[in-house]
Amino acid sequence: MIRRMEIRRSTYFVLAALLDGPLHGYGIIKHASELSGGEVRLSTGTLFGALDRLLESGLVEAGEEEKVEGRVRRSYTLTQDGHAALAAEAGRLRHAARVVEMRVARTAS
Amino acid sequence: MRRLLVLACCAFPPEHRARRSEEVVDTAQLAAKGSTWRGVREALSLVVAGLRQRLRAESGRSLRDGFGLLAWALAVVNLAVALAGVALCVHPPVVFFVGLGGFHPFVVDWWWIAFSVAATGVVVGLVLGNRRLAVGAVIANLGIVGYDALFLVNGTDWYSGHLVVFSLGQVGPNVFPVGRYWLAAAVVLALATAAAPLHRQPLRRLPLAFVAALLLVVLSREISGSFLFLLWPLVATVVLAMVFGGVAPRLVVLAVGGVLVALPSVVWYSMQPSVHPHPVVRGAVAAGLAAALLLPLVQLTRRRLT
Repeated sequence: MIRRMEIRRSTYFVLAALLDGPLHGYGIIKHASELSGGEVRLSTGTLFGALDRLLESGLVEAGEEEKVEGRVRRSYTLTQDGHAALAAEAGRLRHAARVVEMRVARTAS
Repeated sequence: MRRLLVLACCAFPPEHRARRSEEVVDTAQLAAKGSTWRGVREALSLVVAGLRQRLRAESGRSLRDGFGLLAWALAVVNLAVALAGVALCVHPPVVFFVGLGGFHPFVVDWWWIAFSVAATGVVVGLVLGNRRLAVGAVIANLGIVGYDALFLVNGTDWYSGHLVVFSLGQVGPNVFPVGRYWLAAAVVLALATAAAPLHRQPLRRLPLAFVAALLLVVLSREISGSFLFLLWPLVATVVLAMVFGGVAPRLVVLAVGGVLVALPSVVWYSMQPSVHPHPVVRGAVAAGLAAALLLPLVQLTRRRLT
């Protein structure tokens, strides 16, 4: 059962970044920026705030902590619920965009 | 840069820090890419995220936990008042001697010693989570402050009793706390300690409490012994309780308790024609006190986030 939660723009791109596979914190920041065409620049505080909420609601899973080149890392994976929530949000955005596009096209013609 | 980021992580609740601090700092360092400005931006974002996390953690706390916080805050201030009184008796500021011809009549008698011991006992009892010690000390504290307020302060003359030591060299509300003012604090401290869920705290809290109390003593000496400056943190707490009381019930208890402590002295001063003669000022003070008591409580009726 997916818990209904409000998905903010930054959270949406955090989830989207994890679609391609597990990523660690900085990997998510970079990938989210690429996916949004540079529009979403996550700060570390925003990223971990979003990750905490996503972990709590079961949309994301955290892996074990590991040390790579002296830095502590943990990878995050999208769960099935996370996948479904992201797909539902994408559908909602698509519908919202379609409604506006249709009206804009009608008023333009 | 790393030090700044580690410092920024202190904004997170301790349990979160223990779990993820290194990972968060390493990620912030990578995101800063060696730039100082980006590093500062990352540090600020961590402070904001940490404070949000603390607020979320607060929503899980109960009103009873609020009594613990109130008891802790009042116990530290109570200890500071006792220590500041002793310090003023032993080593009064120069301003005391002006008009007194180099003579000051205050000595550290049994009352000051008993007050200091009881105030210390309350702090120790709260840190050890020892209900018997904390409640015993708080009752003794109430008895000592009450004895001074009811038997040593002369009738309507608030400038008598032991706490009058805070009044020399001061004018107007700056004499806080003199006369019977501190009785309200002792009563609220006793009630809060009795209602608080007491748990054993890390022992490092004990020296921290004394350092905090000594800091308050130093600040009070800056204005020749007055504790009126505590009004500002109280106002800040009330404003925070008005804004965040719905998610942080502990703040509401702290704010309402603090206002109850300040209530008698504020009312007494606002009633003095020599201080605020205009009835409009009295009306404004009454409205402000009512708002400071009621608005935080109204926040409690709002749905709490989980």
